[in-house]
Amino acid sequence: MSATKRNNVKVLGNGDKAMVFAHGYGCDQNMWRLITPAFRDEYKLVLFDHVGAGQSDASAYSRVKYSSLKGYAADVLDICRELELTNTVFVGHSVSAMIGILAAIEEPARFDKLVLIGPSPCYINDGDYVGGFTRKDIEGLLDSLDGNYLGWSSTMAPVIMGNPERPELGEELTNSFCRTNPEIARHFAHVTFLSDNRADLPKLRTRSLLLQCSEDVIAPPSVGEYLHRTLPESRLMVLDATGHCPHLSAPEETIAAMRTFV
Amino acid sequence: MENNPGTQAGTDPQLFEESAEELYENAPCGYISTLPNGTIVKVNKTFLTWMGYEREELLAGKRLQDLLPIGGKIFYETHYAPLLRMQGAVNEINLDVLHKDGHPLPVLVNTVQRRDANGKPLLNRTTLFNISDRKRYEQELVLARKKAEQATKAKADFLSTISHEIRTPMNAIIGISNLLKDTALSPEQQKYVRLLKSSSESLLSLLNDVLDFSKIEAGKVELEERSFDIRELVFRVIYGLNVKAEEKHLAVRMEIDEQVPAWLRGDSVKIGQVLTNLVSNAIKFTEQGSVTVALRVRELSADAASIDFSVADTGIGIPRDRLAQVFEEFTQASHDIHVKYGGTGLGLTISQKLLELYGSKMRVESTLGEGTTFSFNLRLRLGREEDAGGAPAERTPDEQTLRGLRTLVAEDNAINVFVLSQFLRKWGVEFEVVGTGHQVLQKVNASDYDLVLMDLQMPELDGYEATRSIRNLPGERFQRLPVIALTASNKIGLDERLDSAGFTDFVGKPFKPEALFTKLALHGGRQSASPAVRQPSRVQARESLASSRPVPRFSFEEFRMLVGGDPQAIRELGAIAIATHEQYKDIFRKVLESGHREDFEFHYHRLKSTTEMLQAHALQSALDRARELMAREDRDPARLQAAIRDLQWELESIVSLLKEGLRKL
Repeated sequence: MSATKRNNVKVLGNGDKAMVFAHGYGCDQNMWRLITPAFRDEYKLVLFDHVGAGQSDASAYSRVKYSSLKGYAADVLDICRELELTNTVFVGHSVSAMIGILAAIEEPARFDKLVLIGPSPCYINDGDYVGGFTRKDIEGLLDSLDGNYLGWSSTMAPVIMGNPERPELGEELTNSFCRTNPEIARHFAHVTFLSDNRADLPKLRTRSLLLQCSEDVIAPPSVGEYLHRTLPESRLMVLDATGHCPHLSAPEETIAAMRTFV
Repeated sequence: MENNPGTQAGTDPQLFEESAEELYENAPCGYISTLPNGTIVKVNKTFLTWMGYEREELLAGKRLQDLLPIGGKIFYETHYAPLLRMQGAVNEINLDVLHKDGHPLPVLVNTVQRRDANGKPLLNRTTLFNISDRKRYEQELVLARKKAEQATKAKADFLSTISHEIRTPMNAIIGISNLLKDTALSPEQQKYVRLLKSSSESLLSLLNDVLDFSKIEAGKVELEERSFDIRELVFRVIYGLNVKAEEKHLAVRMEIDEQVPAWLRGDSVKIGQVLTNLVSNAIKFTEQGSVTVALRVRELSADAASIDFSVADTGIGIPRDRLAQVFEEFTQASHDIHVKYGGTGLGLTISQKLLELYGSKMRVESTLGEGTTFSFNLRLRLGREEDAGGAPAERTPDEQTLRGLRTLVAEDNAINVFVLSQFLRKWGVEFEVVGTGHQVLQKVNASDYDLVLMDLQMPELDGYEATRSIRNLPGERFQRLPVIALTASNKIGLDERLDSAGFTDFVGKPFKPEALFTKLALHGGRQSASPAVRQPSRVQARESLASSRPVPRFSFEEFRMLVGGDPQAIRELGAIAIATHEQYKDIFRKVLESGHREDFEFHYHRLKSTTEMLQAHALQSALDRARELMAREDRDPARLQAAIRDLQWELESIVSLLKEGLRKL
């Protein structure tokens, strides 16, 4: 199967240089909709869904392959290879920031710059390192995912209902974005929030911009500072925007910050 | 129609006090309005009652996400908030909100976002339904599912444990059949031993399959990457299975595209495992015709190659409706298959799962009665010959390599000791055997060993503890001393435990002699130089032992272990051994004095099996020296007398050690 099909890759924009957008946990490529218009004249924009999210091909999911972020990084590289992309600007949100770092370590020539929104190399507190969460907290998240699965929440249901013979079942339901296969979502949450990629950071040679929100429960300021200290060639910008998704809650500020770098 | 309450006589006026405000405050659901960032700006009474808060408390800048437990906060930030921003509404999100006293209240959340003319969010309106009862039912369902999952896991664990338990006695069976094969046997016995060996090996491979499978299931298998010669790998797989193909007069072909690079990087062991499985299946299910292994390049770049592998046979084929099932664990295409061909139905599942590690999938095409083709694609980086390190796979060990290696064996199982001893002796390894961790510590403190082979399960102080204690002994040599674990366990997580205990490496039981040899050579600092000329010369080895350094005499403890610890059996065997050795004192004195070589040889060989059994190395050395002397034409009478004294002394020592040991029983 081609990576383009597997990851529901969409290419738009008019530029020569490519900007690759990778969505974070819990969402899909639609979350870039407020950012992409600002760059579509200058860049070739590449959007995709991680396997298990959005319109990706869930049959390509492998628990073994995706048991570490490296599996997701391999997909990013597959996409770059298939579209023959080099020297790109990679924009990664949340867990995809780390995925981009892993991909850029693996094949540096594919990446010119990384824009990392709300990044975190390790979500769990460990000694002096403050990731923001304890292991128990993460189990709480997994429980709440279980609740949504069994509760037939409409956030999860479209995938369950979306059987190929009766597409109308999926279409009629209201939450049409960020569809996630519940089993995959649970595993992805596990892999994401229990990952620790701190040891990989010093290997990165690509320039990066770290966009940190003022109040972000998922990636607290200490994490941004840690990354800035540890990543060679990184620049840290703290946004006024709060929450974990400044590209949705404060798109103008996010675009302006990106422009100072790309 | 106008709705005028005053004109409707006979109706309770209370009913008509229902105002919008009244409805908002006391509706059977919670209402809250928040700013786009979650700050609560309006809340109804129902929600306040549920939550135990005063209105002012919530309106003092509290945000909706502040009312959520941490897991819910993550869900809010990663899912709820982006979803709401994108589609302007979210429906039926399951969340727990926290009551003022901290207890969770399960709610179902619906939110609509109000936006201005430009689409900028102004306000979020949220309704919350109390789903406490429903949640309880759901929790029961979750519990039921978890129980079912646990039951499945318990079964898998049981399978893994049983397989592991069976592997331990397999050690004895395979080891002893290996030894038996090398003894003088009648043609009929040879046939039986061959059968014994091949049956026990196929049983072992079955156990390994089961253990592999559990390991993959538990996500404990990782890919290694090193350069390998792909053609050699395919050749080795085919070569290894060729005997079976020849028996059935099948042609096995290898068609490798010229474009396939010579060196690739990847896990050659796992790729070999997949190919072996496919080729052996192909041979198994084909009665006439051929099996073809083909490798074709799909894509070649400067640093990687995408290669299509296929294994095609002209065998019985698989019915169309059974094709998908062949990859399911413990499932074969039909029950008849198992009856006719045997097997567990695990091979393809394991192969499929190994390929998943590469992000690849196995495909199958088949025509009933005409044949089957299994294929998969792997994308591998290009390798270089220089990087192709690793152990020389199946080289004939140079048996001189380990001669004189001072080794301490810690193992309390008599049969394992027996099998190990046979090989170690064959390789000229100078070894002592102890049965407890405490003895290990005494021994390593007292003498200087090159290496320790350590069983994990020993009475009192087990292998882990003993190794940890060795590492904690003062002195640098205890840090460097190679300690190799002997482990029958293939259980998951073991590697980590071994590592933290300070083991250098491990050898799995039942061990393959080559594997044990390689590990000893590697860690004993005896890197095998070259395959060399094979020269299994036991006598030579012993001579060098005798001349180099003092050898262990005899240990009653070892004798006791060998017999298996049953006091009655020890007494009986001990008495026999004492009588035998007493007898030989006299015999050897007479034979040596007479100079009759044939007589000496006869008694030499009769005693030898006993000395081996008792691990009476010093006696054996004395015997060997005497034998060497007897082989000479010019026997120096003084040396002859010295040899007699030596032998008398060694025999007497064993007798007194045996007597002492029996007394203490």
